[in-house]
Amino acid sequence: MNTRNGVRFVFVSILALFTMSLSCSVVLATSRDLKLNPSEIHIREFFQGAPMTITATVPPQSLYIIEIKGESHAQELLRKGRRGGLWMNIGEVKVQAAPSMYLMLTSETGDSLKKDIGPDFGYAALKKVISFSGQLPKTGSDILFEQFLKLKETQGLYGIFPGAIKVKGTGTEGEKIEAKIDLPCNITPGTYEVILSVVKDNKLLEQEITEFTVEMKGLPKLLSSLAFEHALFYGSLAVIIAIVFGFLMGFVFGGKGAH
Amino acid sequence: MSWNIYLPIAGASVNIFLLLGLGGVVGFLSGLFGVGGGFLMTPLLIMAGIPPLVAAASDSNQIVAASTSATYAHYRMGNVDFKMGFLLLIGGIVGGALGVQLIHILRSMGNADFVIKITYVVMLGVVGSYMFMESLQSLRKASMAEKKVEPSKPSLYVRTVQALPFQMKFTKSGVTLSIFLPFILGVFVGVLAAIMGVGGGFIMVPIMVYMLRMPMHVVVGTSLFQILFTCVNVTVLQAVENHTVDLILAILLLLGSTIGAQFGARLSRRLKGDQLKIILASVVLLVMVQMLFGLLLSPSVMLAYKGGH
Repeated sequence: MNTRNGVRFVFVSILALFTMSLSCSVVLATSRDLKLNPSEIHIREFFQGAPMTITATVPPQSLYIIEIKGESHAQELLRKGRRGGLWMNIGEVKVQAAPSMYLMLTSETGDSLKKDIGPDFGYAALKKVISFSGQLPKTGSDILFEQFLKLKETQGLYGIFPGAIKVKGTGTEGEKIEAKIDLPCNITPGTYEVILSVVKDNKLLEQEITEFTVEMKGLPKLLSSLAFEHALFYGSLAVIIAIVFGFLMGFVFGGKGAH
Repeated sequence: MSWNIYLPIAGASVNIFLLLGLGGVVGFLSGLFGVGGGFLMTPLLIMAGIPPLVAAASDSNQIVAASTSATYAHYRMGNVDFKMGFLLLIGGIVGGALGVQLIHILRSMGNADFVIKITYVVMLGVVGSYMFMESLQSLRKASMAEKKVEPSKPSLYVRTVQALPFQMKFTKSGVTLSIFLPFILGVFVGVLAAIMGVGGGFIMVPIMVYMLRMPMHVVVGTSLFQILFTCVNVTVLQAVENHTVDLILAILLLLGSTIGAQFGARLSRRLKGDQLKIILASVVLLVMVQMLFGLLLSPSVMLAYKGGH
């Protein structure tokens, strides 16, 4: 490599690095101290869901949005409909790219929220990525999306919480915000993303992402690993426990039999 | 202190006493009537927030315990006809395999769920109504103390049954029948049980009473003996193929159901056969009405998770 090519290479590299750093500062701003408490959730014997506190420092006078997203897995569901005047399952539907959990918390409520939030957040954003296949209704999959949200909301796995983010004070770097959320007991083990977005005049100013994990510990972990990794042993164990219990109760309550 | 417990396979947190109570009530009915109780327990578990597939699989595991407990109690009281039970069981296994194939064919035709639901309602309705009416008549007749019993001419059904080959004496049941009859009836119940996704106890009991002419108390014990084997098979299959057996859920249910089954078995001994039949018929009719409402009223959500009854 001669000197001229070397200078050109260094110049192009610096230009590329500068462009990359510029684009990152537009989409993903520098860390704003997004913190989760707790940052790990352990599912133990008496787990009933977990409260989580999310704090951050953000630019003032903006709309703040926190999204909590679980991993996406394909799900198989049954569609209900009427046949011969009776309601029943009339077809299988596969749902793709739907997060296992989606909770959105915002700092604003009511009409101002609808105006500012746009189609990039909340259920409107989910609608763009979630797809349905299988035995779809003739009217299209819009109705399925609504029903899917309803199903998930009844389980506490999806939800929109306007006004759940509170401003707790102002510091030199901006406003300190805090949000409290109760994660449901049916949360599945895995990695969850927490995305903090700062929006002003319908424009995304900053975004910061962090993660937390949900893990089984103790007896739930032992039983779960036995059920999935040693299924035959687990099934046999379940039967043996049932038979032993059955006989045990028979002896305890034995009394006077005919024989 | 909270009394909720986490169920690792169901992925839900449920109150311990709710599960013990559900187990106790269904176990009581199991010991009383000789039914597994799956047709009652699974919908109740789904209502408590358990995913349908886990509810059905864990329920079959707890039925193993309840039926062991109740079969043992009935065995001690001399109410189990093992010979008849084995014949029905073999028929049930053959029928179950046939029923699974039938479901595959119906699913490929796209009307499996319609057939399942209609079969459920019709079977519950017919079995419940017939048992109710017949038991009511018997109770009324029994109350007429002075009535003379005249020997009547055997019916066409009795004559046909008597004409079948390979007649065998079933001492415990006090009947002599062709070995083909319990086998064929076992196949029939097995097919229905596979289509409906239940153990089949509530169909098996009336069949043993009305078609095999067995005394009600022996019917209860023998039915439980047969259900025990069916549910052992289902539990292991569900654990291996679908990973849907929740051991904690099953243990809590079986703690309740094994105790309930003992009380049920004791009460069944105190009640007359016709009284037992009329109570079972009422339970079956109640479940039928509840199911009919479920079919007629529009559901709140038009999507559901796969699995369950």
